[in-house]
Amino acid sequence: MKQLAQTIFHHRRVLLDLAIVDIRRRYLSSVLGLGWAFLRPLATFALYAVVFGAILRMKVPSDVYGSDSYGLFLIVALVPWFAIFEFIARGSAVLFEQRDLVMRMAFPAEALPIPYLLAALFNHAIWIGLLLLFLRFSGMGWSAALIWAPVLVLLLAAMGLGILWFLAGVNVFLRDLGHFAEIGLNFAFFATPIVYSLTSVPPAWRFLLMLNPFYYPIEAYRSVFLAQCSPPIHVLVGFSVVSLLFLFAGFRAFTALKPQIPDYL
Amino acid sequence: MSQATDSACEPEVAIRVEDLRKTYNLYRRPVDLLLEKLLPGGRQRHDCVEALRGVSFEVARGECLGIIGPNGGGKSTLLRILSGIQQPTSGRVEVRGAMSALLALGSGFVPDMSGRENAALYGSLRGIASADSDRYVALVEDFAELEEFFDRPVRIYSSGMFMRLAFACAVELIPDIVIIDEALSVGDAYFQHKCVSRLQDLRRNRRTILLVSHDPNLIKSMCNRAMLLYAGQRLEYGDPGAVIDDYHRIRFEQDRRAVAGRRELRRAVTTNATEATGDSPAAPGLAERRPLAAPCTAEALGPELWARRHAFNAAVANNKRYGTREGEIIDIRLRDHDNVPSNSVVYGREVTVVVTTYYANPITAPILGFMLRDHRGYDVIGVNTHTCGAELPCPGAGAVVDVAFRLTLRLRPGSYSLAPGLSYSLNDLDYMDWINQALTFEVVAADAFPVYGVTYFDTEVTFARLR
Repeated sequence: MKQLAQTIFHHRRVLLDLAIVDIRRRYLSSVLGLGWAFLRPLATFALYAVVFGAILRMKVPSDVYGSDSYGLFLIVALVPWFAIFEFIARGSAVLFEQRDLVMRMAFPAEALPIPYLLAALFNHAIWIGLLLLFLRFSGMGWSAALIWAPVLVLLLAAMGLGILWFLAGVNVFLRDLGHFAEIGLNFAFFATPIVYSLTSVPPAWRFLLMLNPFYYPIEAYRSVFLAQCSPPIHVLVGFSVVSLLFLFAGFRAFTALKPQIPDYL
Repeated sequence: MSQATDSACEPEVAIRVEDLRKTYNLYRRPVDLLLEKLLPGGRQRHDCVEALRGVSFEVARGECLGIIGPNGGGKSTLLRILSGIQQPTSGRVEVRGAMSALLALGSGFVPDMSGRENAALYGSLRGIASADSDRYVALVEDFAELEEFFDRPVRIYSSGMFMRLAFACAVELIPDIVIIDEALSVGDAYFQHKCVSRLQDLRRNRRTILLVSHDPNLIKSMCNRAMLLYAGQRLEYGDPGAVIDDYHRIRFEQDRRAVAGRRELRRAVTTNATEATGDSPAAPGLAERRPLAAPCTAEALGPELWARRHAFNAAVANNKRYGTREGEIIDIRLRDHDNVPSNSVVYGREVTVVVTTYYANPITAPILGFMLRDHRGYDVIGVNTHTCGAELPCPGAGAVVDVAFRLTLRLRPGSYSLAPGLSYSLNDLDYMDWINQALTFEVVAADAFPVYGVTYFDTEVTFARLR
């Protein structure tokens, strides 16, 4: 772990450069540029807001979050979900996209998820900025609870790094993982209380949802940004445990596989 | 990557490799890997491919080692292990000094960014500190000579421009050890010369170079040692000329085996076709006539020629020779301008190379020629009967033919060798007999006539006064 920190520190400049390259590469050659980073998620948001809010008339438990706006309820959960989505969707491609750096430039493979993490966090930061604007203009305002935001982002980043390590490493040996992840994302989206709330689920079934690791980040973001209070202790503990578990498991999986990776990449 | 031993005892060793082995596990189907790992006590589900089987060598600081060998010989695996990308299965690798591996030029370049941005990114990938980045990029710009294209996206570069940028990025790092894999075969002639001279600069500055190339002349001219990797083993190590002669011999044998394999295949196919249609089998083609011929006998040559052949065979080491021997070179002699056999000729005088050939079977339109090489093994002159416009008459079985080449050698004084070859056709490696260094001779200076370059051409000088 210490060695890894040294590797990352030693290559900090190039890792940052690679993150910038990644962001630029995705948007540089299109007319709308960075706009695409938000148009797609915004379209998703609009679609869900219309389908679940206006057509299906999902109810928002105003007694829980203090607001009965379905749009706000949805977007607060979608912001961390988009980040999780990006970690899972891109994780299995990390080493293949950067194959040359590993195989031709002897670049340490374990540091390669970092630029992906940074790029995802860049998008996430802009989303949080937009979210704060939404809150202000919807009349919710900002409260002191928002100082929890950096903690949530940090925990989300730890979770993301774990996911990236795990998917990047395992996918070299099990190339079906990318397809699994894609399907899994579809299930996870509906198995996580994003378009609905936990309280709208029969109490007997709620424990099932609470077994879902992604429940905790979503719920934590809703407490801090929507209800604007400190996250409930079980959510905070759950989020921390899940994130550190992901981080540790991802790291262990990657280090175990690392010596074999160049032979199979 | 040793720390303690670095200092006094052997400061000269840059790379040391001991008994290096690498085995790849190959799985036929992706699921086999999963099954093998998951099922406890299951059978082995992979094939082992030994890419390196116990390779050892040392490269001293300032040396240039050329690595040559057929595809699949283990060159790429060796370089990947040396540059720390892959782990060896067993054995030891010691590398002393900062290393820059050019395994594929242009790795890590982003098409949408400009040459300048890519150079900066490459520098930071290679660990150039931010403070030195601008200076590095300026050096790259200067070396690559891309002019205004340096600030355009790499995506629109021609492949030659791309290579210029990539090579410039690589050589401006000035590492202690440079590893180059097939990098110099690209770019235009001007840039190739520039690259070679930059490598020579690096050598003069006591940098260590490992060069993998299929270009024998590049290895002969750049390297002071060479290694032949074949089937994961070090077959030959030492003087580049000798190693490359062996490389040619191996290529010839491989080719012959491949042709024999195809012949078997064709025979099988023709037999089936004949049975089906009742037609006569196809006439023997090019591939049909490659079996090694029976050695020629004293009766076939007669006592005098037999004695000459015997002396000649004793003089040329067997490992520098290859071919089917259906036609055989039984002697080669050099005659000076007075038509006297000699191993020393005077610059600018006419000489005659006489090659004596014997044919075990009738051969249609054989081609005889030779390659004249300098002391480094560099190919200086190559001639054959076909390029000279002389068609050899079709010799019958048992024929012995003397072929004489008369030419004027305007070569820098020094030692040269002749490698004669007797061939079925102009195809590469289609040899009945090829002998490296069959004859060595000296070119001595003519009185008071200095030769500044490798050779000299009659030059006419005229003056025109303009003002």
